[in-house]
Amino acid sequence: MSATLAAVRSRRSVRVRHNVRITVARIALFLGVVGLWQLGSNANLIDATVVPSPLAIWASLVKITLNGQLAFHAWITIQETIAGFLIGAVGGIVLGFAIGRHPVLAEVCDPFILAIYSVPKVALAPLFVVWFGIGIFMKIVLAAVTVLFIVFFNTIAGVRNVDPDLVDAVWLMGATPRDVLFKVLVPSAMSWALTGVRISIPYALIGAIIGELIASNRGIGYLISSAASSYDTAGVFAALIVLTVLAMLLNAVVDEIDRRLSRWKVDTSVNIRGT
Amino acid sequence: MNSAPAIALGDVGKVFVRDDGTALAVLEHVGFEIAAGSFVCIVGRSGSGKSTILNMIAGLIEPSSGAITFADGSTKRPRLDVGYLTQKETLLPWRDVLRNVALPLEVRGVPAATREARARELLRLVGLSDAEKRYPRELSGGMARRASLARMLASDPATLLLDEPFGALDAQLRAELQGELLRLWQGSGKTIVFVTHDIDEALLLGDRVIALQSGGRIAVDVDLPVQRPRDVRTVRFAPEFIALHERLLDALTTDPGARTLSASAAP
Repeated sequence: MSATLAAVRSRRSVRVRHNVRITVARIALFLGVVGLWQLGSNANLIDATVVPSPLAIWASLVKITLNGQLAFHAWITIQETIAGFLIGAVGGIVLGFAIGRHPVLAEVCDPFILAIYSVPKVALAPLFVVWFGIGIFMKIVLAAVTVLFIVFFNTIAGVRNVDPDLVDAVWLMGATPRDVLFKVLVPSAMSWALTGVRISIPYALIGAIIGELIASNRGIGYLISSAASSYDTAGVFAALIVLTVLAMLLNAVVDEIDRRLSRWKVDTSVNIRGT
Repeated sequence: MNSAPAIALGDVGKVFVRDDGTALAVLEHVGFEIAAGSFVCIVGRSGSGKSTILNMIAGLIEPSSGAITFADGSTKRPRLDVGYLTQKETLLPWRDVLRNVALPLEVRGVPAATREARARELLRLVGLSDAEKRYPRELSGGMARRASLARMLASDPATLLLDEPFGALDAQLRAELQGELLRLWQGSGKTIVFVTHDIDEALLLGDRVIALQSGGRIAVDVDLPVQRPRDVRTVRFAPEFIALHERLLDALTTDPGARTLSASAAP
């Protein structure tokens, strides 16, 4: 017993030591690359108008942080992303259920849905500018449309892939159609729908940024394009760093959702059955 | 039996239409009665239509001809007093064991406290008390079967339909669950229709064994000398069981229609 405990403990300490080593290596890699980059810039080996020095990027980042630009533009982008995501996700789920529950309707709509799905949503951006102007609403629409199709497709697949044997089993218990809908169809399809939701989160950010890049006077996408148009490459890099941090935060949210769903979900849980 | 049979199949036929439009008669003129409180085993090879019979009794499919009548004279299905355990596991993966077992009561509108108490009692009965918070994914094959058994019993149905319920389990586990089923059934007054392809299993469990050949032709229909509890180890060596085993095996292997049917019935 104590031997096992000791073994577990020593295995854990090996794990901890491994993790520390990996972290140190990562920091060393980062500092090494940035250091070489800075040395290269100092020695004029790297053209500052093409790739600015790390210190110049840092200065630019500090500047936009202190003058409030970073917070202002980041907040705009976050709002667009969240609003677009929520509208798209809810719309996709509702539409997916509405159409998925009517097999004939779904079959009729299939090619059209696929056609719209195949169009890169970026290509719709100029049209959305004409329709909705260059304000925040156009970015929300672009993000929402991108998210909507991903969630919609997953939801409709979920509704279609409900295990008929589960439906039969519950029906034989004397369940009403309403019971079957809410106790089998919805929860079964929800696992698919949530997979779509999970995948679509980064796309909401992409939609918002692309909208800002195309036509805008606010947001991180605007920050990038305005800096680029004035040849302020340090500003572009600073804005890209902000964008990277934002995207990583979103990914952390996705991971958390994954972790919470994984208990009964098919693909992510450990299957001890049949061992 | 003095009372009306629990279930009566009157000249039942079932024709499936294949994808290419041709008809396949799975069952023709099948008629038998099942006495209330009896344990009836139906043995047959795959393609004999034994599962189709069970699906029709449950109400999942309608007979093409004939009628299935219950003790109260009704032919309406599904019935709330019939429980069905299929070979495939149909526990809902997003519900833990407790909520799965309580589902038949939930569907019936039983209050949460009552149905959970009943579900816990059943889980204790099948030896799953420690697993009530687990999800189906987290159960072994035997545990999932026990949970399904508990779920079927939750609404206390008078009739149980079991379709090769232990076919996917290893021999030891199968024997264990067979014993469990007998223990749960004995003295309960419930009627059981148990479909299997395993002659030993039928002889071990049933009061009566019906052997089906292709098309649902009844080749053997025999009452077993009831000596309960039966012991797997001794039963198979008792002379009358050896003779019955021979007879049933003969019926299943000398099926004139089996070859043509199995050749044409492939999906």
